[in-house]
Amino acid sequence: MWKHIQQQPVAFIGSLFLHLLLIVVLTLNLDWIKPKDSVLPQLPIVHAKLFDESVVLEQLKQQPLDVENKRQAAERKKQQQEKEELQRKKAEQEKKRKAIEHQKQAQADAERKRKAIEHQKQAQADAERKRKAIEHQKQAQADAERKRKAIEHQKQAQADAERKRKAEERKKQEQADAERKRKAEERKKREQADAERKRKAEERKKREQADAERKRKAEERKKQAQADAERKRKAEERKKREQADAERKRKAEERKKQAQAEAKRKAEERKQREQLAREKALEEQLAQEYQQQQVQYYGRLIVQTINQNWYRPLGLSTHGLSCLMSVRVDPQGKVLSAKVIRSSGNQVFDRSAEKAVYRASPLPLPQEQELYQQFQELRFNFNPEV
Amino acid sequence: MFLSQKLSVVIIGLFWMVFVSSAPLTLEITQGVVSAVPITIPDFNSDGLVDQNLAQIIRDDLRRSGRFQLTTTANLSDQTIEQPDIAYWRQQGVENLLLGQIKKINPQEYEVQFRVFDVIRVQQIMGFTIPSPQRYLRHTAHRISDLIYEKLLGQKGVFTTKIAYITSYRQADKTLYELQIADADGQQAQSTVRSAKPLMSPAWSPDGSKLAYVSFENRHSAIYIQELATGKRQKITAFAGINGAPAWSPDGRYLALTLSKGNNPDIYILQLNTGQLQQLTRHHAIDTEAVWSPDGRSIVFTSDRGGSPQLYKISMQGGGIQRLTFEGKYNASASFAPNGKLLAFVHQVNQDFRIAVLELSSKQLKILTQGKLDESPSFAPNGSMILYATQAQQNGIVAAVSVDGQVHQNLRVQQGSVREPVWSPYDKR
Repeated sequence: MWKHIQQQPVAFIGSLFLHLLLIVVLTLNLDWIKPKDSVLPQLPIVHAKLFDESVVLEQLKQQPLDVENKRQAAERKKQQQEKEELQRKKAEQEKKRKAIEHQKQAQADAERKRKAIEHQKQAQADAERKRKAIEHQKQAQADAERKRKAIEHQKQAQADAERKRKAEERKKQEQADAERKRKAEERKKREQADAERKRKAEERKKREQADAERKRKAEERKKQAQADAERKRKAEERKKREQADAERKRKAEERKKQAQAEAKRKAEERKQREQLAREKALEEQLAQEYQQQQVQYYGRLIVQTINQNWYRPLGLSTHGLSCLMSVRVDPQGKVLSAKVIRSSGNQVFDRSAEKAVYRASPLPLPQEQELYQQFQELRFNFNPEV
Repeated sequence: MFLSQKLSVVIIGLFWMVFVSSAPLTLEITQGVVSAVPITIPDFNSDGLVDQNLAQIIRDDLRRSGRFQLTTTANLSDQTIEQPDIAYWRQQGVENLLLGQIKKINPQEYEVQFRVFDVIRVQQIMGFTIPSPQRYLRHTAHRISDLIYEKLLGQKGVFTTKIAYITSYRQADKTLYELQIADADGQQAQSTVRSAKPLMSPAWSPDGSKLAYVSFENRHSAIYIQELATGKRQKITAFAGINGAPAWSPDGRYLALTLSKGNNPDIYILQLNTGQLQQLTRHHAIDTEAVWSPDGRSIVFTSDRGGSPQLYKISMQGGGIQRLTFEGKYNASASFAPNGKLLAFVHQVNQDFRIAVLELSSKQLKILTQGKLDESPSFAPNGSMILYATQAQQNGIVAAVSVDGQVHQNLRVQQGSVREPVWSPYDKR
């Protein structure tokens, strides 16, 4: 609004003025309309509005008639001018109004008011015309009357003027008050609006802040949640992993334990087996040792016997000679067969060995039948040392 | 160390057990008894027709060789050569049994049959039938001895070989010298050369058909070669000075000689078919008594070039002379063993001259005899014995010793003093 005011101060002032005028008119009109008949006397009151006229009248009193005439003419002229001016102004006003109207379609009230004012003005103009006609009619009649009345009227007018002025002042005061009030009101409203705006802004801001906060918090929460979720997920994963690890570990442990147990069991078994085997081996070893001893003992006996019976011819060079004999004996040691399986190449030597075996028969053998197995086939390597 | 020994014992034990369980027990026989081979040779069944006891000849042959132990048992006349009771002989402790019989084919002809049994193994190891004229029955006995010897000892017998020697005896105040040839047992001696002048150094040709010898019959030494079968002889050399010590080359084509030709003795080689003579040694000392190595590549001779008589060896290709003997101050009169590995020679021990052998590879010297004046060693063709001359009651006799020094034999010689015996080669005729 201030903008409009600032932009078109003339229009504003004009409109302001127009408004004031309108208020006055309306105020006066009320009086006019109601007691129509009784208005007449009060016309000057209406004219009283024309403050200049009263001034003129006063001047008239003081000045000659021609002056009066002149003044009247001037007054008329002036009135005419004023009227024209007024009309022009009205037209301008109208124009402006219309412009304003055009500008401010939203302000329907103002428009309506303005139209009412137009009607009033129309009526005013009509009343003016009437009044003039009457004026003209009663011009003559009115001299004395007028005079008397003029004085009365003057007085009245003065009083009225005074009243009016006071009313005016009051009105102005009121207007000013109203204006102030309005302004205060406006200011208040503005302030309120500002406060409201501010509050609202504040609120908005708060809201926004709150929103932001909420949002942030939500965000945070979200993040937190996400983080939590992530953590949770990770924790879950870790947990799973750990569980898996633990499971694996447990299984490995189990396996290990099983393996250990198995190994232990096996070791135990092996140990037992080994123990058994050792014992058996020991027994066998003992048996074998016994057998071995027997074999060795009887082996020595046999060797001795063969040696005693091995007659090598005197003068026979045995250097490098040796022969291997395979000999089969019966359980009593009797030589069943003796054959050279590797000849010395010297028949005499071979035969001496062969004869030695037969000459030594029966060979001394152990009594044990199972030992006989080791003696049933014997090999003699005849290999003289010299 | 102890542990490892113990361990190794255990391991050996294990192997032993494995060995025992998987293969026959094998025993090492390393001793035995070195002994003469026991043999029993009962007299042959001879139908009472023959005065010669062939079994006795064989027994003597074998006994003399020193390699056999002759056991006598009760002669079972009912034993036949066809069906001997081996169990009986075994009971008698007989190990080798020779059974023989003589059958008269006709008044001049006999058939000698013999079998040799191994009583221990209960098997015949030999059996022959030898037709024989009556005058060869002794020789047939020697042949049987050779066969038994070879069968039971693995070595060729030398009972059918001969010996040659110089014998001297006094007859009508004169000393006569004879070159005699006898059987290896000294029997059946025959005079080949008789001379009033000394005979020396008989040498058998490699085939045993001839003898080379030195004769002083012309008051001068000369070398002759005489065929034994015909008695035909040939003077080979009669150079001035010494003509001595002939020795046949193994192929019989050459004769090694000692010739002085008026100077000092050296060894010469004479090619027999051409008479070509080649001096082998050339030294101011005495070089004599050459003998050929069995491979014919070298000659061993006696030389005092070292100050005392010692044995030297010279290659037939000439060149290096190598001294072989270093022990003692006298080593002379060498004889090569048939295998070329041993030398027998006269070796002085203190004041005594004895027969010794030198193993050429090891240079080991072994004294075989115990005489005071043993001389002229000569190897038997089988290398088992060494014939030599020794002194007995102021007389020279022929003796034999085994190469190992274990067996000593004296040969019976009918008369006189015997020197320079030489053993013949195998009869290769």
